[in-house]
Amino acid sequence: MPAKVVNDCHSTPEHMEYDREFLTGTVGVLILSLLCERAMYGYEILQEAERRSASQFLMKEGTLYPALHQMERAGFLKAAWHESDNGRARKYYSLTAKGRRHAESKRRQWESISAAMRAILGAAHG
Amino acid sequence: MDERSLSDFIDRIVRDAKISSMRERAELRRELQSHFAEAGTTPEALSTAVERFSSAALVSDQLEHIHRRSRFWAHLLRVVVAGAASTVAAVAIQIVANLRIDVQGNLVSLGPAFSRSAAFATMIVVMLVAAWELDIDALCARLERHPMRFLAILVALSTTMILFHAAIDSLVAPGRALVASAFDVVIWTCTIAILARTDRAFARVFIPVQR
Repeated sequence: MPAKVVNDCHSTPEHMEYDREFLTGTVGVLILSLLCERAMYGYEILQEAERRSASQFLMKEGTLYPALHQMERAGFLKAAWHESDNGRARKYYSLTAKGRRHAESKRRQWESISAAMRAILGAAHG
Repeated sequence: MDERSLSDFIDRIVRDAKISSMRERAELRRELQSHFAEAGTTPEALSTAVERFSSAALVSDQLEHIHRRSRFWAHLLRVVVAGAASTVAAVAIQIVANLRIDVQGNLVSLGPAFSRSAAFATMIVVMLVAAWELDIDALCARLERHPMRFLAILVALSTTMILFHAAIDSLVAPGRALVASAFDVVIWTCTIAILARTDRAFARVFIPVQR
C-alpha cells in the first residue's frame, strides 16, 4: 500500500492527498516554472505554489531549500540578497540561461507525460 | 515556540548539514532566519511555521547530501565524461566524412584533410564544453530546434573555412566548404545533445530524491 501523505507535501482534511510516487520530481519542475516568470525568494515560491494550486499543493517547506541549493549548485539558479521595502533582507533566486533551457526541457516532458496520462485515463473512462 | 527555540531549531539544521565553508553556513542560517521572519513573530506563528517546515533531521540530511565535498568530483567527472564522449563522436563523424574507398583496389583510407578536420572538430567540442559550463546561451542552443541558428552557424563555419584556406594560399570551393561545414554543424549538434544528456544522467545519479 503506497504512503498516502508524503513528506514533501502535507494535506489537510479538505485537500487531496497525493501518493509519494506522483510527487517525486515535481518540486524541481515547480521551482523552475515559477522562476521562469521572475526572481523569487524561498517563502515567496512556497506561497505562489500554494496560491496557484488553490492550496492543493502544500509543500513541507523545509524541503524547498535543499532543492534550491541543489539547483544553484547545478548552475540552474543564481542567488542574490536584496533588501525589501520593509528593510528585510531576502535571498532571491533566478534562472540562469542553463536553468531556462532545463526548465523548458522539463516543461516539455511534463506536458508530454500529462497529455499521455489524460489520453489513457480518458480512454479508460470511456 | 519562542525565538530562542527557533534559533536552536535553525542551529540544529545548520550544524547537522555539515557544511564545511563558514560563509555557506552563515548564508544558510541567514536564509532560514529570513524564511521564519516572513512567517511571523508571534509564538503561534512560529510554531505553525516550524510545523510546516518539516523535521530538522530531514532538511539537514538533504542539505548534507547536496553540500558534500564529493559534489566537486561529480561535477569534474561529468565534464570529463561529456568532453570525452563528445570528442569520440566528433572524431567518428570526421572519419565517416573523410573515408575514401577505392572500389577497384578494394582499399579503405582516410582523406588527406582528416587530421586537420579532426583537430578542428575537437576545437569545436572544447569550445562548446567550455560554453556549456560557462553558461553562454548563444552557443548552447539545440540547433535542430532552431533552423535559423543552424543556418547561421553553417554559413559562419563555411566562411571561416574559405578564409582560412585563402590565408594559407590553398583555395577551397564554396560547395566543398559548405559540405565540410555541414559535418561540423552535425558535430556541434551532437555535442550539445551529449552535454544535455550527460547533465541529466548525472542529475539522476547525484541529485537526492525529494522525499
